[in-house]
Amino acid sequence: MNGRVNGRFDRYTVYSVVAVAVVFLAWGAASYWGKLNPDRFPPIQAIYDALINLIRDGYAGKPLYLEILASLFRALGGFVLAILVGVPIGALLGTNKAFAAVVTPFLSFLRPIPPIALIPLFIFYFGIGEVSKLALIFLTAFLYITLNTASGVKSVPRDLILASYSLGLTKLQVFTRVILPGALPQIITGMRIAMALCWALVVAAELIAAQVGLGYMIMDATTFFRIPVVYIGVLIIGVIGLALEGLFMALEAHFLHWRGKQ
Amino acid sequence: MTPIGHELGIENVSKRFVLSDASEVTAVRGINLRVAPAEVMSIVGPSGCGKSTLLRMIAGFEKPSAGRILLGGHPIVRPGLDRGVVFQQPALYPWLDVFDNIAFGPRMRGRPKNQYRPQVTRFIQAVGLEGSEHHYPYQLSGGMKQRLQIARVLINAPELLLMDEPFGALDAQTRLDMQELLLQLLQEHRPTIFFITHDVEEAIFLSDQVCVMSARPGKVIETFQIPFERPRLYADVAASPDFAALKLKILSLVHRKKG
Repeated sequence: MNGRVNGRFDRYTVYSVVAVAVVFLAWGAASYWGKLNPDRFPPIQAIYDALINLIRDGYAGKPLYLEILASLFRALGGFVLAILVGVPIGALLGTNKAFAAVVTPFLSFLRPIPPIALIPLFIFYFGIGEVSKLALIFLTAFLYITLNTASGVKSVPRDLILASYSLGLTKLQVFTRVILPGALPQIITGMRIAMALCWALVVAAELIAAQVGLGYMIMDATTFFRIPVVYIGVLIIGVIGLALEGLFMALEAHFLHWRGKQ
Repeated sequence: MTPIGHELGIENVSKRFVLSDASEVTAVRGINLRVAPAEVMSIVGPSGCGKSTLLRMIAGFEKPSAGRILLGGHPIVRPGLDRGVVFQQPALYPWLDVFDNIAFGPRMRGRPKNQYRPQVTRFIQAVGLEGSEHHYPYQLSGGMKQRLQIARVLINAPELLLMDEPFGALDAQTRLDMQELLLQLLQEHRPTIFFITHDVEEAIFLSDQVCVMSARPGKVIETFQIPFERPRLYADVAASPDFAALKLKILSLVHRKKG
């Protein structure tokens, strides 16, 4: 969506900016006039100072970017693995009824379970190291990507597939050049939802057991009453979540401009 | 020299479908038809007379339950490049623009780019889509989508062109334009054509033979020879008294109650 009309911001964009500004001003004013207990709700200035400190000195002896990279690595690692495994399995699921009959009961059962409920089991089986986190993120993303790929593959119009055979395409070409591109809108939507879930999940997993990562940082900082650090952690998690979402939106706008249009 | 399509032979073809409750429906029964090379045959008949089923069997999308279908003397077993299909609901690649939709077939078959590029450009001009080369299907009108479908099929120089109510969803004026465009395209490359329509006037105007089918189970009631000289112009054909007489005869058969 474009926030500008004829070079000027439209009024709804103005409303959004004003709303955010009002909240920050209210927070600043409340702190300034002593309405907020600074130990429980730190003033904006304290948060800013803490951010500068974090960037300069890191957290608990580790540089800040290491905490961010640790979380990103876990989320993206599990996510990429899930794409590599989930897209082929989803495609098979969407084309082979026997395979679908065997696998669907398990997928249908697993899908509504909040992945957080599985964290203890995964720690029990895979330990508190990287493997349990990667495995949990993989499973979560895998479910969404597989099911969306299957439904995307099934949504490709039958006549388009038949027309492709009439144009002389081989079975493999029909699959790679017609069915997969036709399923791409739903595959990418699955990825976008899965990415958001992975990011939420990695922080949750780090809250429970980790030595590094944004989730670990906010958990640890809370224990030591370093509340400004907690707010910064939350802020970074939010900004990265928005950026990942924006990345997928941009991918969709660029590659899938044709979707949903006749 | 104009390349000429192959003869289509439909011999004793029947098609039964088994429904989900295990009952059987006979879509078409005992169909015998012959379309000479480069001739146009139209099929008219009430909805559900199995004319689309017949077309899908010729395309190789479905197998006959009995009988056989021959193209140039060879039995049809699967979809193939020798038969181009134009659907009523355009089956276009929504992620490819006009140029790439037409180029897709040759490209997938490994034709060199310098060979198919000029051909694509020629067909874009032939169907009147110049200026829209880089538009996507969703940016095209119904008539333009059908032009694109026809170009995409003709670039493969099929022996047989299968058209399933291709102009049925278009407004009257666009439909006339498309009919004349189709006849004009046939002067260059002359495939045999199997054309399904609801529109009796369209059938007469385009065809050498018009075949009337009955309601389910679909059977051939009668086949009419259409005498008009080619090239044809709609205004000339529609004005002739033979046209009115044929139209009346065919319409009365189409609307005849079953039994």
